[in-house]
Amino acid sequence: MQFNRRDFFRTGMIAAAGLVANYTLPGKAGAQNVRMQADEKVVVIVNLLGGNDGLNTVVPISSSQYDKYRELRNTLAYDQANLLSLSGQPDFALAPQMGEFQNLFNSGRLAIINGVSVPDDAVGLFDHEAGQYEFQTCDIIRNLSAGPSSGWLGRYLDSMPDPGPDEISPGVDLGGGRLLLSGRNRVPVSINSIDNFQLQVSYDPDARKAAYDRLMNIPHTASTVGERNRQMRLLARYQSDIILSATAGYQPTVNYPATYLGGQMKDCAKIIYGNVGARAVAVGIGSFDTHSYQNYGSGSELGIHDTLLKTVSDAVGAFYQDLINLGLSHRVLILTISEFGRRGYENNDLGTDHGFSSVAFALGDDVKGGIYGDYPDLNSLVLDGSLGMSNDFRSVYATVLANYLGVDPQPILDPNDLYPDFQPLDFV
Amino acid sequence: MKKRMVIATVLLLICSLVATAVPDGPRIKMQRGTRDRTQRMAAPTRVEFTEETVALVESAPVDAVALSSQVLAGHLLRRIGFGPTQGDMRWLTPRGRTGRVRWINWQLWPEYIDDSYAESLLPAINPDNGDTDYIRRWYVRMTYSQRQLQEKMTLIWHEHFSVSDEKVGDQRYLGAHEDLLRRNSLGNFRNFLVDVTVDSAMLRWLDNDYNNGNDVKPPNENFSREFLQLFATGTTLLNLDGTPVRDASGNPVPSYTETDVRELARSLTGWHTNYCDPYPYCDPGPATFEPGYHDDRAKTIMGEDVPAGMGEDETAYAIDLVLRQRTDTVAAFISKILLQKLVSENPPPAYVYRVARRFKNTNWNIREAVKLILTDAAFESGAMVRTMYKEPVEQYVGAVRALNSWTQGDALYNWTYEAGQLVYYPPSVFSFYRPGNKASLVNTSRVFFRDKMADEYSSGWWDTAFDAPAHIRQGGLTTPDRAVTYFVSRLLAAPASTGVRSELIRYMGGQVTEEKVRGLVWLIMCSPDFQRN
Repeated sequence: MQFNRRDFFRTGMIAAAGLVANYTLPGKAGAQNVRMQADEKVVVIVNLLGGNDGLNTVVPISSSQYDKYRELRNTLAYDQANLLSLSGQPDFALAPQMGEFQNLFNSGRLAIINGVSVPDDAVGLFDHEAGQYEFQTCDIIRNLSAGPSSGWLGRYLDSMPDPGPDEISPGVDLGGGRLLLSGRNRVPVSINSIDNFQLQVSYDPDARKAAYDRLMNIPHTASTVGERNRQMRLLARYQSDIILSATAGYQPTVNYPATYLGGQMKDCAKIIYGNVGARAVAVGIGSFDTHSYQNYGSGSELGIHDTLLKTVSDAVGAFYQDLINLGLSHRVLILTISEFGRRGYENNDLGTDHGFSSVAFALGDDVKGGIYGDYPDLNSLVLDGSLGMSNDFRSVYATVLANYLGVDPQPILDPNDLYPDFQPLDFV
Repeated sequence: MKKRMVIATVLLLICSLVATAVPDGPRIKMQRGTRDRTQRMAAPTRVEFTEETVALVESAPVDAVALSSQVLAGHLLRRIGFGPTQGDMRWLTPRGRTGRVRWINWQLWPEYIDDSYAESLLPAINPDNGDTDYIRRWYVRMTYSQRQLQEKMTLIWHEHFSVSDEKVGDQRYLGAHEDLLRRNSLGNFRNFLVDVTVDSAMLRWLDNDYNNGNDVKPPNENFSREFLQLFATGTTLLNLDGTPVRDASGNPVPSYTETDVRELARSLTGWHTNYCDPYPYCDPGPATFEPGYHDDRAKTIMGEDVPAGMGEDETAYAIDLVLRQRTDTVAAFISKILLQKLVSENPPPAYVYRVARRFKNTNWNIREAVKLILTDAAFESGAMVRTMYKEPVEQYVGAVRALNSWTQGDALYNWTYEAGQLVYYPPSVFSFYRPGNKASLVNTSRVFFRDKMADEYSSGWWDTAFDAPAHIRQGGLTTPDRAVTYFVSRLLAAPASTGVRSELIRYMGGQVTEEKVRGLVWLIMCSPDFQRN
């Protein structure tokens, strides 16, 4: 029986008991990619895990705000001289380590969106797990009775046609959130690194690979655990072959930073270069939960947050430049997300505790650079010292869906029709 | 003549009784002198077949493979430890349920199990190697220790408290932390919470170290929040059966407020780690309480007042307060987690209730709760046997134990690191996976890692390897058929599922060479059967 791709990519499981998936490896994909639509748009999500401190990422420098900033953070506040200026924006500056992002802003490709958060009646404010769940699914009331959770991008990908013969799952999770890319009837492919995304056989390779593939073709009816593992291996083998042959010709045109995020962004570039049907890619970078030793405002010593912001700026900047050089930058929109921001005031550990709103960045050829949304007034902190909300996070997503991808955002963001329409912003 | 036969029969009976009285395990005979005999030699626990338990067992779907004594022995050894060895299986399989219950009762008292052989195998700690030797030692302990249940519980608690040395950064604190986990693993949970709160590694990990309650800036809330959310109560109020309490509109009720988090943070201020030089060659000792850092004012947590001026005593007082105000929630929260680690990711509420009630009524006695979990009829029902995912540590150490392999922990360090489960390096406070979500350990990228480990382990090139020629010799593996039977039995402790056996034989290509045996082990380790815990 021919390998049934359609069933396979749906939920990664063959639902009905007794359905047999006999899988024969497709012939080696030719070097030419003969797919019809080689120009479809790709959304790249950069998930800043832990709660990014927006106030020390994009700093308000109009005089009353800056004075209040220093008052709230007498150790963490950056000296104005060290901040990076943003052309055309006298009231805001960028953290000292984000040089690449400064360049991108000044060339009009980077948008800064202020005051992004869940609404204040969302379940589990200040809770990492709840925050990530909500940013990935848009389910702010934990409406678990509505069925299995799905991510907003996953729901968008549900409307994609089934992958063709040289294609992988349209959702690719490089570490930014599997749920984000999981739809009602499709799952993303999870890849740790492309180089590792293959079966390793260090001796007797041919006989072992053949035996492995035959073994994985035997349906396992005794347990869900066994059967899911089997199907996951079939899915992995199939997609691994496609990805490795499609990306074999890739050469980076920039020096990617030697950080973990740098490696993920390079793999992201490979995926797009390989033209294997990816429509949404998620990368992630952790450690943003900076309760202590976040940064040293006036000195040259780098704290945790400094290093993280530099990592993001350098890796994402390199990725975008690589795509420009490869003639592929028109294919992507990059968006950062984080589950919440941090308190306006610093704690006694040179850090900040969980807060409410934060900033988001959008980057791409189609982005209209600039600053969107009012900066939350530091003299009117909310929820015990947090920055208030200016933009519901779902309006940021609505912008991507409506203005970049050209689809109706409301059914995707609000499948249970509980909320008034989210208004797209103007950054793309 | 008849009299002699009677005597002979009686003698035979006595001998067989003596022979079954003591599980002698794979290598070491247990010492008889020191333990409390009344505890260890108690009759197998009578399980009460209430309507609930009967319904549970009867409603469990029948597994394709019958629940034979072999399968149940393997199941027990994988759940309460890191998987069967040949010696364990030889003892347990013929002894059925009686043997398994004796085994459980033996394992519940690790302080009476002689572990000197395993201790002799542990790699030495070289202070210049950072935390590497601590991690290797723990893997070697998991592999060879007779106190398997204690090691499994230590891992379970590590996953619960989820301290990462990436942030702690001092392996001396790590050593003390591991001792704490192991010491309390089957002890009293209330004491465990107090001990872990003042543990140096934990103070560093969750920012309660030098957390100043008398500064104009409020104290760091990180530890207090995670104490409530992750360690003690969870986010919502629970009934004793683990189901959420609901308000009039049907919504779950939070078990703590933001004010509770802040007030508890104030209560727990005052502790700090100690340091000594020359690092790492001296012992910094335990954490100290510094009155000047402690917020000594009165507080209110969960509606109950904490008096002013309590000083160092306030730490235990605040913890006792939480347990007092949220008794059922804590009992159900922890009991459900233990069940999700040991038995099933979706334990039936009746099962949770039984365990939580025991846990609560014994004043937080972990040993009693675990004993009930393991001896309950539900533990061996079809729905619970071989129906859980293996986490990387279980899978890898299990393969090492099953084939009597040698290890000093180096390869296991690399393999678990690549698989995303290096002990002492959980990716976040949310540990390697959330309780109830072992499925998240399996995705397209991770299955490649599991099979890669199997490739390297089976190849024999690494420090952690099995002696293929010895197995061929000792097993009398003269034909592919015999080789497949042998390795399937060792690795799965169960029959291979339909169709797999013939594929394994086919791979051997008609002869039993060392290379083919290694490939056979790899295939079994990749097979769906081996993924089942």
